[in-house]
Amino acid sequence: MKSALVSAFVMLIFFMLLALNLGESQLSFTSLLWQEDAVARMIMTEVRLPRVLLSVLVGAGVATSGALIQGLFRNPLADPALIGVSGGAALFASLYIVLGTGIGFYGFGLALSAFIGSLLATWLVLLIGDRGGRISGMLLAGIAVNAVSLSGVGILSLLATDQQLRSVTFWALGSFNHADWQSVLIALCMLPALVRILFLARKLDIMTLGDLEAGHLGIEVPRLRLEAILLAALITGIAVSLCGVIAFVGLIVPHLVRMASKARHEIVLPGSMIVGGMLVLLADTVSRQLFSPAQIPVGIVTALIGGPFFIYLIIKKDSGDRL
Amino acid sequence: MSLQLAKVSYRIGEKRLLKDISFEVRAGELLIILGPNGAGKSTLLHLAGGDYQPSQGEVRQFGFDPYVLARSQRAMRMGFLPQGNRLDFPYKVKEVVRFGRSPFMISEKNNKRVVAEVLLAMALEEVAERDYLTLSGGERQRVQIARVLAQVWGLSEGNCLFLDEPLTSLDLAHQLMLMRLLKTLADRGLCVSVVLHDLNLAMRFGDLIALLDKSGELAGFGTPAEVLTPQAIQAVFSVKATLQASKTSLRPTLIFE
Repeated sequence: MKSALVSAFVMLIFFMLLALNLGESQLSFTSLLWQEDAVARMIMTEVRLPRVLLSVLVGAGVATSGALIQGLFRNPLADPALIGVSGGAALFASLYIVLGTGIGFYGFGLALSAFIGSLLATWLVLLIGDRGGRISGMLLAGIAVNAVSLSGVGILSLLATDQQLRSVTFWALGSFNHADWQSVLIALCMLPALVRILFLARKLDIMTLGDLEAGHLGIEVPRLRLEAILLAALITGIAVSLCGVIAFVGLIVPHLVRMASKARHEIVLPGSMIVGGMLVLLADTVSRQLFSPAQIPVGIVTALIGGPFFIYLIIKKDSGDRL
Repeated sequence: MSLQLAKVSYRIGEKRLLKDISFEVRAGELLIILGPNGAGKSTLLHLAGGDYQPSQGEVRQFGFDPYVLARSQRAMRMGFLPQGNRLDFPYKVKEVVRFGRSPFMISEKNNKRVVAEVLLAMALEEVAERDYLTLSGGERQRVQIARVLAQVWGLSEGNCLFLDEPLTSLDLAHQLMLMRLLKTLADRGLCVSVVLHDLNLAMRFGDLIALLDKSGELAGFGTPAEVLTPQAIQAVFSVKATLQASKTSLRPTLIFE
């Protein structure tokens, strides 16, 4: 099982090198080493490299928090969106775009605003949903917070100018168009949280047995739940604030890894990290190559793959074991 | 020292689920909790196991209040099987049983040995490598029981085991197998409390019976012969019963009309 992880990692590196070679201008990664042309060099180091790194980091982060949330809620069909992160981030990003006029549409302000939104929404979900201490309460609270947030985005888009509306829409569909070294640096802040999640593997295994059962196996369930949700919110918040909503990755990747490995979280978590990075990198490469030089938002590509796959999961789930 | 409940009551809002329950189970005794649906059998077990805090009265497991005890400490002193299985992930059977050893990270070799012994005792060796989700309801139930047994396997005097309707979905042979196994665990010094519905199994295997009535009060506590009288059964279950001497056992059998 560990060797599968290593080969997946090698594949990821290979795809990263491949993605560096693809783009509007015909440049290959190897040319970087002895490239005299300053423009070519700049395309490589300032455009392609940060974009590849950012998409891998974001994919790894979103997929790992998906695996975390699925284990925590004992539901293989759960997704970080269920704890309200995406909705909150979308609302605050739209607020920033529509009301925070005069400041650039992308960049640090937008990211910060989205991040605050994701944390606020998560806090609200915890506040409402944890009162009964039941999982279903939190899921329902997440759905409600998401619905309210999205209607807020709807109202804001009515108020928005055409230019702002374009930004809101584009952001809601997810994109790495604005990847630069600054965003890569921000994305690197996810790393400590990701490492921490890896250490929760054993506890997550136990959590899948049930809250009561986990309590009787020595786990302080409320504390673990709080920590896991905050970690997922932090990672998803950073990811969403940097590149918008990348649909379905948090749901599909852990599921794929579980199906392929049938394994415990010590494999599923790092596996999701690697496969998530790979999938988002591929989706982004497709999205910028398909109608080049026009670029379609990467969220459209992931949703196009993810939607049908999700339907397949539902059908398979219905005909197989209980949900 | 023993498992003690002293004047324990439990209410949610205005609703009183259990009223003034007192009893004591000593190390090495097998307690069987009986009563009609909704009498509060599971609630009683959760109170004794430290999942809920009594509204009044107190629970002590060999001197400790299980509700206050740190979870990691409690997990090394007792095992608890709740009703219903929630596991929906494709782990191998032996992995699920191994989860029962997670409070004890001392020796992996020892943990492996315990898992092997429990799998054997629960007749699960053949499915040890199978995906839990592909098992039948009865097999899943046996795996969950095995998981809890793995947790208490090395425990003895001064420790407790609680099982809430463990016989659900088990066939006759496995029901008897489990009851005998619980008896052996009690002989090792464990204090075992089980919620059951089968009065004859309770009669045959129980050292002590706690009989709850519909109002959540203790209608009887004592040995099977003391508690499971036709009068008590009529009063609590509204079923007419007669006792018949058994040819194979010293304890009588209940015949229901």
